[in-house]
Amino acid sequence: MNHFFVAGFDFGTSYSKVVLRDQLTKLGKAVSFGDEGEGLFPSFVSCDGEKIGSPVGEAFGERVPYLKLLAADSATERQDYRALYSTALKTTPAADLLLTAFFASVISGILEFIANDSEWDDFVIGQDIVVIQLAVPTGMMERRDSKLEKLMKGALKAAYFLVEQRGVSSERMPLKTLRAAYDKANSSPEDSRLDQLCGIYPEVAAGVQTVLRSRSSPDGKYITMDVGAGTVDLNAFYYMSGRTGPPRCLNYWSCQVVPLGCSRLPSLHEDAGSHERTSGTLTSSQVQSGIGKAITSLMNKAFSYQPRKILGDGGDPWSRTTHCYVFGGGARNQLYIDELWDRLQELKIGISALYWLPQPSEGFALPGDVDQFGRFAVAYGLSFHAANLEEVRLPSELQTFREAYPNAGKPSKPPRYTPCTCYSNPDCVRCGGTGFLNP
Amino acid sequence: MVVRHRHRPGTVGVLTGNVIKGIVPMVEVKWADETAFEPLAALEIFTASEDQSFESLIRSGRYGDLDAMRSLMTFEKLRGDLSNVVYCMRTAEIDFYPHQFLPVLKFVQSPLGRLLIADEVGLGKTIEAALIWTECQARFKARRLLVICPPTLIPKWIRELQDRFGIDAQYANAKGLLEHFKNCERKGAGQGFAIVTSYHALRPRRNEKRYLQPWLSGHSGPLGDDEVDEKLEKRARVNLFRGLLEWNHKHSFADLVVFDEAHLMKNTATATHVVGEVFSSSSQGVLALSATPLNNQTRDLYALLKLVDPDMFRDEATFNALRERNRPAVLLANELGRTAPDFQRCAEHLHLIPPSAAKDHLALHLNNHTICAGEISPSERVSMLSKAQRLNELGAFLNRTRKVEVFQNKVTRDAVTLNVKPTPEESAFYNGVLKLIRRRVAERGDVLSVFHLISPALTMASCLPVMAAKLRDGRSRWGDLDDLAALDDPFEAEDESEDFVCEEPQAIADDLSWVRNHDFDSCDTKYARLRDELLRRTPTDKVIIFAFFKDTLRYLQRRLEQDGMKCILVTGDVKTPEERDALLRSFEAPESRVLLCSEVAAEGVDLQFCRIMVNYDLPWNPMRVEQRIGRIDRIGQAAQTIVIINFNVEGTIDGSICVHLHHKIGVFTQTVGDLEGIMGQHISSLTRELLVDELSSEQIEQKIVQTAAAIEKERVITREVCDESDSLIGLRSILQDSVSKGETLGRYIKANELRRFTDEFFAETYGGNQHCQLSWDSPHDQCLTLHFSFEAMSDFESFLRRNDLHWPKGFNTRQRLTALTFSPQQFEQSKKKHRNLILANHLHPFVQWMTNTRREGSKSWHPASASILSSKRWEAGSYLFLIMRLSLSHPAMSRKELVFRASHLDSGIVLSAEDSEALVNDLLEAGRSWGTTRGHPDYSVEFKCLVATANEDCRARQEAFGEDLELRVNSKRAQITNHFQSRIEGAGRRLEIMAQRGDRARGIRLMESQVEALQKRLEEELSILNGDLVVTPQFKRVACGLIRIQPSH
Repeated sequence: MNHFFVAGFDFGTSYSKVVLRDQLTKLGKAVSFGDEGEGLFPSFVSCDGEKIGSPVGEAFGERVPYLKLLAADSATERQDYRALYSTALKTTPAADLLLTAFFASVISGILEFIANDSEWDDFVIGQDIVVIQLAVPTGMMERRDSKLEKLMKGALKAAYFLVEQRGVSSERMPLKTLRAAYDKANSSPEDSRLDQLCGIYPEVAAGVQTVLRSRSSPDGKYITMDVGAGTVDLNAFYYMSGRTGPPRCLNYWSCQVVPLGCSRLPSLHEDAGSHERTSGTLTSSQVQSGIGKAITSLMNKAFSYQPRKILGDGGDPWSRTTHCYVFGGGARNQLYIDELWDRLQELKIGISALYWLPQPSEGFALPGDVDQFGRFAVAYGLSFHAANLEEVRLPSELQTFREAYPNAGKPSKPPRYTPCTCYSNPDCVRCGGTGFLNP
Repeated sequence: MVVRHRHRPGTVGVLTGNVIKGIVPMVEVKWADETAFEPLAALEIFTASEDQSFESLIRSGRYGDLDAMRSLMTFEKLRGDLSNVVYCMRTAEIDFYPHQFLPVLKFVQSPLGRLLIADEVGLGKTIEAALIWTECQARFKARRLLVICPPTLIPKWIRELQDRFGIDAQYANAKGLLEHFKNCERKGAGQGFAIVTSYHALRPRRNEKRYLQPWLSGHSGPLGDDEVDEKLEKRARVNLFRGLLEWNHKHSFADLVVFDEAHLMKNTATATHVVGEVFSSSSQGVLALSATPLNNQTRDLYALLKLVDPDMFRDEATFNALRERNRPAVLLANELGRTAPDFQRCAEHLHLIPPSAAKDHLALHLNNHTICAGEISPSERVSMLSKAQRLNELGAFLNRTRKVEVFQNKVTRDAVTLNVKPTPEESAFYNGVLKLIRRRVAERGDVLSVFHLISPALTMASCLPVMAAKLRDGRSRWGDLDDLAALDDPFEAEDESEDFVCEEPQAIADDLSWVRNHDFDSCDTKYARLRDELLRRTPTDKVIIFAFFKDTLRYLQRRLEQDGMKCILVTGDVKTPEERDALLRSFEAPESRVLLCSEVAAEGVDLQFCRIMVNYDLPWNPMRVEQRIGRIDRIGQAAQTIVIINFNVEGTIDGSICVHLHHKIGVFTQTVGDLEGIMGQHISSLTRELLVDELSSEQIEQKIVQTAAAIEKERVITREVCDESDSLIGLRSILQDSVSKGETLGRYIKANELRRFTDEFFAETYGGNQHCQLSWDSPHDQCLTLHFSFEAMSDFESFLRRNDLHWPKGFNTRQRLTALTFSPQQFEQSKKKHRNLILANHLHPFVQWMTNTRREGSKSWHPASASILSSKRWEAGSYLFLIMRLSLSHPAMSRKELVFRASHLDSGIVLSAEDSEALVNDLLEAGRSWGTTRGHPDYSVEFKCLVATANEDCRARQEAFGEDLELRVNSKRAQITNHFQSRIEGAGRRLEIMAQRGDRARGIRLMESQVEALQKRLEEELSILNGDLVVTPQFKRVACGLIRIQPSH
């Protein structure tokens, strides 16, 4: 085996991003699709009722955008987002098939990227391995029936199966072929090879991974905010790095997605009742009146979500500081960030500074003309092997500190094996050359 | 079981036993900094007995990543003792001018750490001095800086040191300095300070000087009064000087003392000279700055060099002998510097040089060439040239850069002369006063009175309405000058008493009584011309107007402000330097347009953001004009041309001077830095002639033209003297070469290197709950917002305390939040927006702390790396490189260098040391890890070859070091002997005096034991130098690796 890739796949509403990492050499790269230097893959497919085509192929039929929202509607059996795509679309194929076709074109794009890369050109399909890890919207994962999770994973497996069968291609796929592939891929037993090749992970936690990977993160409380153009994802959790005993774990007490993106600054401002807009730039007081209230209410909601559970247990005993990170395209909007900072200070939850997500200095390359790492944060976080990603307890599974770490503060048991300082010297008399001292 | 990661061979971990089975089996490994699941295929078993030599790494292809190599190289540089790294480069907020680094290199390479910088005005001597200090801090761990300058320059020094170099300098007078002195005596070498003080504060008063006489060398005059004033003994200055003269510790009081405007100490009879003498002999390093070390005699140069190194240049005879001895070395270097050197002549010069190993070596080289008479390769010539330079003993003490050498696109001076035709009343008034002056000169008859009378003449030339007002008030400075120098420095009159009442107001009133009733203000033709000129120019252009007299300036301020131009007035009245500073800064604000300035006020000030200056009145001495122009024609002037506006008032002496003298000499169009020594005499005799005799305007013109011709003639002679003095210094090409090499080969510490170093340091040193938050590019690009953890803060604190370092600005134990940047450019951009932002270079306590912690720790990096570089510069293919650290040391001198060697594997060509260094530098700058899974072939054979070449290199360097060492030991021996001898002699003199006075036996015994101690130390020091000159070199392999060059698109 020359290569063992994990592809972190950030499935976005309008654009998707992929970061590929060789687990052997630890070298990671953001995938560029075709000539696209920005590293973005448009999230739509074309469809004419009989066949579904990939976004990079020749345009035909109708364009089906917002695949993510479509999938959400399909899983919830509601029509929340129907308004966004119904007008243009007459006959919509089932969401699972659309997703399968789309994922197949993404996987094709990834394989093509590997084949064209000078450092990875010794990749052999079949012998070397690519694992796809897909980010799934968290709010939807919270549903008990986890239908969306099943739908997405099913489609991903089908897509993988299809690419393995057909090879890399951007040809249109008949609905029948897609259906057959979907059924075949999902009929195999659990924990099959396909299951291992296709993983899913909560989207919010994927972004958090980047924060935790970007530096050796301390144990403590965290807030991370993915400030997009339209929405803001807010995560509040506490984290144990596992260095001091208890297993690594992210314990969420809130994850919110709210329409407070930085491009909405002017309209938020108008909502607040003030209509004197200066040309292009808003003054700080105007922003304050517009966005201030919204952020405050969001924060209050986030922190009163399960306050009793968190604080009722005596609060967290190990840290009074809250580490606060912002990333995403809007994180560089100074006006927005200034306002956010003021609001966060009002909460008095121990935020001493607001940190930007820096580009990792080691073993990672963005596409040529991209300078903002923040946009790839989610995909980057997912490009680590699942075994090395933290266990995530979503808000419904939130455990208090005592629940999560019943043994914390008690003297820890001695480890089962103590490594010997001789580094497995065969002549060592203490360990007999095994490298470990028996208890 | 202990395992190693195949692609990061430097990291070793232990298996925890957790396994994930699947299509790719994963096992959990406990690494030093984390526990993680790794693919089984990426691991291999590690055995401690494994061969870790470079050969073994190359054989088995165990290459690590480039990041480890980068960290390794940064750390090697940060350790601070590499001889070929220019540590001060890019540490300060200054633009890069190679000539400013020449003195730095010269200072570092100089055997004794003593240098006279005699660059021309406006080349940034202050910056050069600060750069040298930075370099001293990095290399020699210097901590005590003392700057002595004229009082007006104190704020400028403090501000420049603080703003540009982040050095927190303080002002101290003699009392303050005495306190530091006592601290230094008590606490020893660990004490650190940066002090700026003035000659005026330090120079001993007459009775103090008499008191100190017995301590001073060469002053063997009789002791003054037998009764020593008790008060005198208590004076801080006296105590300080006595202490310094009796200083007997191993460490010096100051590591570096800087004498600014050192020519002030030129006269050996003055008290200022005593300051120089005392501080020079009690400091480790001495730096004298002077734009004009040479008048028309080389004796001045001697006087300054004696201050720079009193031990080396004990008397003029020694100096002259040294000069003679040195001449062949200079001639040799000059000959070798030509494109086609005449080896025969070289050999002749070489023959005259005193024998040494370096000479023999060079002779061997030369012989080869004279015999073969073949072509000489450039590299060989450079090496011969550098050898010849080393033989030049005097060159090491003096650095002189001329403006012509520096400015390729020199600022052009655009002189505008405004012709003013005075009204009949003005002419009448002018001639009337002139007549009066001449009459009075004739009456008094003595020479002195000429100078007494020049003041009203100047006032009149400066501004008629002011003169008229003075006459009206019956108030004039009629002969209140009692110093001859005032003629040369007319503006010094400004600080004299202002309200001198005219002796015979009546006499004036009789002759010029009509003046009382005439309104000169409203029909002032000169002012009207100025106003029109200012209005004609763009309103955004800032203008400086120079005039001698406060009254003129006030008058101009009043008139200009009436005409709607905002003025800032800076005169000698502004007493405190801070106030003056604030005024000059306020001129930078966009709303102020005109700066009205007297010369006293503008001395040493940088006003290069203006490009227009007006000489409202004109000093007769062109040097004064040059100094005025020098305020704006200096480094940093962004404009292509500067405009100099002068007035030619028809029918006046000043008008003729402007047209016939100044224009002729070319003061308005070129730098006349070489004229200073000539001017004084000519101008004073011209002044006398013009004022004493009744001359017609034609005669006046003729006189002036004659003077101009005389000056021009002498200028030619002086140029010759200067050229000769340049030949003392010899060729500069080698140093220049090494400055540009330092720049291109990255032999300095870069901001991004510090960034990586910091990142790695905090990630590895403070993990888990001791974690520090680092946020890069916040609050701005290339800035770091750092939140210390409690542990880190307390470690930092204790480091500072342990090392006796000052608490740095911007760090706070309570908040533990700091914003800093490593990039001077970024600091310059953001400092106004973020007041708390600090600039940290590698000398900042923060970086020192990290380096120190690293040095104490056992962290090591994997020395072998494989990397890829996309580049057009290098031939495509694979290269193997090796970096070695060569340390050579001897008590008198030590040198540590990195030796680079690389070879092209496909062609087998071994690159030169310099090319290899450039290749590695490019790699560190733009390369990336070569994370291939395919494995690397065995390059043992090629590596062996490379090692042999590198060893050869090291040996060559060792040889050069040996030659240098011999020369240095010789000069050091002479210096030490002279130094101690003079002190022993001084003590002997005092002993004699004590015996004469009949002092108590105990005191005499004490003195005798002091002499013995001095003798003993002299012997000790000499025994070190007299020992063997055998140097045992240490070669240490630092790094090696494989580079693949990809042709870039």
